[in-house]
Amino acid sequence: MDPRSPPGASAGVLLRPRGAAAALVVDGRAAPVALGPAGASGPRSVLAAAGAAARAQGVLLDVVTVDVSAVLLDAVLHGDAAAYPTAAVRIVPRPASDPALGRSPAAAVERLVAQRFTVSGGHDLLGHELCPLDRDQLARLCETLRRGEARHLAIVAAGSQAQPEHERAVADAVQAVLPGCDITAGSEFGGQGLAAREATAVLNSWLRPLARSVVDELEQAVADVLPGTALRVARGDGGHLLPARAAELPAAALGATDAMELRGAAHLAGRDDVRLVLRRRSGAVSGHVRRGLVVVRSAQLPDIGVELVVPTAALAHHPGAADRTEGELAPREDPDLTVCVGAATSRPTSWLDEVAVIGSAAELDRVRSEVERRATAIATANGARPGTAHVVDLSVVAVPYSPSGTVRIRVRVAGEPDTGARPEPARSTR
Amino acid sequence: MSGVDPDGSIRAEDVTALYEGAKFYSPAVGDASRTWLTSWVAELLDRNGPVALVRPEALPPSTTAISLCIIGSGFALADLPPAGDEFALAVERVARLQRTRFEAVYPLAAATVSSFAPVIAAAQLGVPLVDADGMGRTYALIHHTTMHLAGVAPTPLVAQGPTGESVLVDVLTAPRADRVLRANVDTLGGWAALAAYPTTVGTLRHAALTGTMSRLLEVGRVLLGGNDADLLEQRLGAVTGCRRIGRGRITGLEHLSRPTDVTIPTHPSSVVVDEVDGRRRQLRIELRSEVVAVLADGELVAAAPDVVNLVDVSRAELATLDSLEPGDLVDVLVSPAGDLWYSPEALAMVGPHSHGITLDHPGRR
Amino acid sequence: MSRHRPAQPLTLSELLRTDPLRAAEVAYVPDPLRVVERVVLAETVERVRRVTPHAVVLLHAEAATGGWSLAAALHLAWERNASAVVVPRQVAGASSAALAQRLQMALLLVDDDPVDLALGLAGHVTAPASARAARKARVAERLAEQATLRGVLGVLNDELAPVPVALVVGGTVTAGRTAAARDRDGTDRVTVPVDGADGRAWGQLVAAVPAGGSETAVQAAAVLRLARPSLLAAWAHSRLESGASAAHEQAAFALLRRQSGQPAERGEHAPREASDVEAPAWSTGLGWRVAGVNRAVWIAPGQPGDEVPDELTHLLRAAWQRGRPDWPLVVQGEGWTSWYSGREPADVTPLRRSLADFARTATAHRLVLGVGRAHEGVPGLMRSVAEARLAAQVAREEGPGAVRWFDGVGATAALAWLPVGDLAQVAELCLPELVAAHDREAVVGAVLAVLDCGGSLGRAAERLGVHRNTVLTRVGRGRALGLALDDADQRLALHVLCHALATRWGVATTGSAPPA
Repeated sequence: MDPRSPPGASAGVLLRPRGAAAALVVDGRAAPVALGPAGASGPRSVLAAAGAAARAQGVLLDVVTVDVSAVLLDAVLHGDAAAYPTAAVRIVPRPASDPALGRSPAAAVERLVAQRFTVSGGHDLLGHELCPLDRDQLARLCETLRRGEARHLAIVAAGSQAQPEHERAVADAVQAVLPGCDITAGSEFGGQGLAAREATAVLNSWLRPLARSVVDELEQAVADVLPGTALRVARGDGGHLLPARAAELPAAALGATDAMELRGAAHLAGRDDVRLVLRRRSGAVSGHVRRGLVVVRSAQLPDIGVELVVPTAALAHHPGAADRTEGELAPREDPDLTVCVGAATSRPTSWLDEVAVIGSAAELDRVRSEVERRATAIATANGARPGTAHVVDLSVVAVPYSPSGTVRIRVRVAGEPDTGARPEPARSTR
Repeated sequence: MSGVDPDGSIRAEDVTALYEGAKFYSPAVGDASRTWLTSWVAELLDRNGPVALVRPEALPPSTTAISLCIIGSGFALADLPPAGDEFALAVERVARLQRTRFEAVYPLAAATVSSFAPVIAAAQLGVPLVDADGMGRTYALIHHTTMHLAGVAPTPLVAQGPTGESVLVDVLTAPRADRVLRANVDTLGGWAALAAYPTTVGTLRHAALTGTMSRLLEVGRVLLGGNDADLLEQRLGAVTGCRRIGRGRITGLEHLSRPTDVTIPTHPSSVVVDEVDGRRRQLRIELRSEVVAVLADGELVAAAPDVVNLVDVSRAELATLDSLEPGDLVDVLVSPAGDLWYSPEALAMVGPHSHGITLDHPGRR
Repeated sequence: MSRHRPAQPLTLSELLRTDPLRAAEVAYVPDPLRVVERVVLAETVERVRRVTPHAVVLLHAEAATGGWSLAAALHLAWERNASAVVVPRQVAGASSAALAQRLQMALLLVDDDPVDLALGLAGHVTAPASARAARKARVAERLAEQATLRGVLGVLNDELAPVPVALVVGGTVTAGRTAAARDRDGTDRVTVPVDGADGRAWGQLVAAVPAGGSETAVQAAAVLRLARPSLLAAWAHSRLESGASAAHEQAAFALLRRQSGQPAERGEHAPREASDVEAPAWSTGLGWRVAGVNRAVWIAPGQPGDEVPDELTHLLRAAWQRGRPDWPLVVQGEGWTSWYSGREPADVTPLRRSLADFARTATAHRLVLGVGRAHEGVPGLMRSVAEARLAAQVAREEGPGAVRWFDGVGATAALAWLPVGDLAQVAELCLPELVAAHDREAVVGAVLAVLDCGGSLGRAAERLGVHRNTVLTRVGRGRALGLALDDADQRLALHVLCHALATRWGVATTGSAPPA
C-alpha cells in the first residue's frame, strides 16, 4: 500500500443500462456517493463524482471496482442479437438427431447464436479420444464461415477440459481462414456439462465486443478523471478482475450484482460469516457469505435459464421473512448502495472445477497441488498481490458410477488486492 | 395437490416433477443435466404427445415389454449428451435380435436420470410406459432387480452409446452381465442407454414393483411445492413412508473431502452431522455412490436398501451430495425400500454388507 | 501392606505410561484412573459386541476399515462398559474423537500393529505387579538422570499425572506443583519425608491423590520414595555449587580489598583516595556493583565464636537474596557481608526495606546486623564494610535480630571488638572461684557497675536499682572471689574482664529488664 500521508480509499460503482450508483469506502466505513440531481449519465460522470467525494474527505482513491454485469445482462436479454453475429461449433461424435438437443436449452442463449455447426470429434471425461476429428467437415466449416458474416465463434468439444486438442485444431483452422475472428473455446472455462460450457462460451463470445468497448470507456474515463486510481471489474463470484481480463472473459463478470450485494451486506453488518436474505421481485432469496467470501456454485443465473460454468452466488428461494432462522440477516440499506460497497471491498479470486483420476494418495497430492498452483496463478492474473493468493476452499469428492479413482476437484483461491502502480493492460488469450 | 394425472399419462409439464422425484431416489445425481434433459424431454412430449402411464394389470399379460435405464456416470452424461436416438435404437436392436417388437417399455430403475430413459423411448416409439420398475431406487449393479430375483434374465441387452456405437451382451448367469458391461460403458464414452430384461407384462405383474413411476412423480410434485422443511417432510412421509432420523449441522466431510484424511481415494466419503436437538447425537452418514449407512453415536440406524436423503432445511429442498458444506443445517430422512429387499437373500445382495459395512441391518435385529 | 492382598488391576494411566502404549496418542481419556482388567483383540465389529466390562479393545482388520467401523465399535464398547478403544491412527478423524467424548469412552490411536500391541498389553494386564515393577524401574532410571530439584519434580509430576506432586521445605513449596500442597475436597495427601545428607529431616514430598483410592495412594507413595536418592543428589549438588560459588565470591572480595589498598584484617594503612581506585571490570562479571556510593551490611552471629556453617550460608543467601537478587552475600570470616550500591548516599529506603524483610530470618538464626555509612568507590566499600562490622559487634548487646547503624555508634564500638570468648577463658583460669560461684552474675554485675560509675557505690546502686548495702555486700563478695578492685594496676584489666563476663553471661548492666 502506498505510504503517502492521506489514507487510501476504495470505490465501488454499479453501472446499469440507465442510471448508476457509487459508494466510497474509507477505512472500512462506507458512504454513498451523490451523483447529482439528474443522476449520473455515463461512466465518466460517475467516476468523477466518486473522485470528488474522495477529495472532499481528504483521501486518495486507490482503486475503483465497477460492476458492469447489469449492462452485459441487459444486452444479452434485450440487445440486438445480430449486432455481434456469433457461431457455435460443437465437437461431438455425432450431431444431435433431435433438434431440441442441438440447441441450447435456454432461449436467452440460443437467440444469440446466428449459426450452429457440428464437427465430429470429442474425448471422454478423462481425455480419451472417442472419435477422431473429422478434417473434411472442418474444412467445410471454415469455408462456410469465411463466406458468412459471423465473426465471433464459440467452440466447445466434449471432454475438452481434459483434452483440448480438438478445440485447438478447430480454432487454429478457423483462425487461419479468418484472422480477425474472435474465438472463445470451452476449455478456457473448465467446469462440467456440455450445455453449461457451451452456453458460457456463447455468452462470452457474443459479449466480447460490448465488454471491450465498456472497459475501454472505463479505462479512458479513469485516466481522465481519476489519474492514479486502479480500475477493476466486478466478478460474478464476488471478486474482481483486471480490466484486460474482463474484456477477454466477460462471462466471468455476469452475476456480479447479486454477489456484490451479498458481499456488501456482510461488510456493512461487520460480519465475515452470515446468511443473508435479499429482496427480489420474484420473492426473497438467501445467500451465504463465509470467511468474507460469497458462497458460490456453478449454477443457473436468474434470467438466463441454463447453468453456466462460471461461479456465481449460490442463491436459494427463501420462504420469507416470517420464517427466517436465527443468525440470518436481512439488510435494510439501499440495495444499490450495498452492491457498490461490495464492489469496493471485493478481492481478486479464481476458481477451478475439474475431474481427474487418482491412483494413489501421492497422486492425489500431486494433482491437488497442481490445481492449487494454477488457481493461484489465475488469481494473481486477476490482480492479486503476488504471494497473497491462498486457497480458501478445496473439495475433492468421488464421482459416482465412474471408473474407480475418478474425483472432482474444486478449488477457490482469493488474494489481497494489488493496488500499487497500475499494471500495463495486456491483451491475453486467457 | 392431486396425484398422477387422472388419465394416467406423463406430459411436458410433468417433466420438472419427474426430475425432482428422480433426485429423491438417488441424491447422488447432481443438477448438471437438469436443464438440457428436462428441456429436451418436455419438447419431445409436446411434439409427440403425452406418454401413457399404465399399471401392469391394465395391459394384456402377453404384451412384450423391455426395460430402459441410463448406465454409467451422470458426469459423462452431462459432458456428452445424447444425440437423441440412443434409447429407441437400443430397444430396436434387442427387438431385431429377438425377431419381435416391443409393445411397451418400463423403467429398470424408477430413480435418478434413468427414470427418463423409458419416458424418452415411450415417446419416440409411441408405446405405453408400464408403471412398474425393478428396483424402486437405484442399485449399483443391474442384476439387483426384482426381475432377477423372480428369475427373469437381464440379457440379451444392448448398451447404445452417444458415439453411435453399441454393445450387445448375452450371458448365462445374471451377475455376469454387469461385469461384461462395465468396461464397455467406459469405452463408449462413460454412459450408455441400456435396454434390458425383455419380458412380458404378465411377468411384470409379479416380478416388478408396481406403481413406482407414479410414486416418483408424486414425490417430485411434493418437492417442487416445498416451502418449509417440516411440512415437506410430512408430505413426503405420506407418499414414501419416510421419517426423519435427525436434524443437525454438518461438522465434517471426511476422507476425500478433507485433503488431509486421504489414504486411498477409492475409499468412500463420509458426512458427519451433529444433531441440534433431541438427543444431540453425532450422525455419521456413509456414502458410496449413494448413502449406504447412517450411524447415530456409532449405532446403525439406517442402511441400504433404505433410501436416505438429506434435506437442506433453510432451502426446503433436497441437498445434493456434491454440494454439502460444513455448517449446513440438514435433515436426515430415511424411507424404506420395497419389502422384498429385506429378505436375507436380498440383504446379502444389496444390504450394508454388500457395501463393506459389516453390521447387521437395523431392521433385522 | 499385606503380602496376601491380590494385586490391584492396572489403571489406564499406568498402562499409558508403560510400553507399548507409551507411544500411543490420546484422542480422548475421560478417566485416567479407570481400571483395565483384560485385553480384547477385535477383528470384527461384532466381536466388540461380546466384550466384557473393563476391557481395553484393540481394533484391527475388518473392525478398523474406516470411520464407520470405529464409530460402531465405540458405541458397542460404551454399551459393554469397556475401558478403552485402541485403533490404528489413520482410521480416526476429528469426528471419532468427538464421538468418543460424547460417549465418554477412552480412545487411543497407535501406529504399531494391533496384534503385537495386544500381546504386549495382555502381558501387563494379567500381571499388574510385574508391570508396576517394570514401571518403577523405568521411573527410577528417569529419576537417576535428573540433577536438579526441578528435574526430579518434573519427572514425578509427569509420571503420576494427573496427580500433582510438590517438594515442601520448611512449610513452603520449593519445587513442583503447588496444587499438591493445597487442601482440596476429594483429595488425600500422600507424604514422604526426605532427609538431608546429614540425616536430618530436610523436606517432604507431597502428592494429592483422589480420595478413596487406596491403591493409587500406595502406588504414588512408592514412586515418591524412588525419588529420594535423586533429591538428595540434587540437594548436595546445589550445596556444592553454592559452596563453590561462595568460595569464589570470597576470593573475589579479597582481591577487591587488596586492590583498594585495604589490608585483609585490621591494620595500619589508611585507605587510598576513592578516585585512585577504579571498579575492576571482572566485578561486573560477577554481577557486583561497586562503582557508585556503597553502603555495606554486616551479618554476624549473635554470639561471638558461634559457628558459621555452610548450611547457614546457603539458607541466608536464599533468604537475603529473595527480593534482592543482585545484592551479593559474601562470607567473611565469622560473618557475611553484603552491600548496596547506588547514586544517592541518603537514599536508604531499599536498605530499610531489606532489613525489615530479613528481620525474621535474623531472629530465627540468632544473628545481628550492622550497617556502615555510605562511601564512594571500591575503597569506600571497604571502609563501609569495616564500619558495618563494627556496628554489628555493637548490635550484639541488643540481642538476636538487632540492627545497628554505624552512624549511631561511637567509641563504645571499641568494646565490641573485645574477644569475649578469650577473656572468659582467662577468667576461668585466673578466677576459678568466681566462675564457679553461684551468685557470679550478681557479683560481676555489681563490680562492673561500680567500676562504670568511677567507684561510686551510691551511683552504682542507683544504676542497678538496688540498695547501696546490696552493692557493698556484693563487692565484698567479689573481693573474696578474687576481684581486687582496690589494686590500681589491675583495675583496667578487671573492668574489661567484668565487661566481657557480663556480656558473655548476659548480665543486666542497668536496672532494665535483662536481655531476652
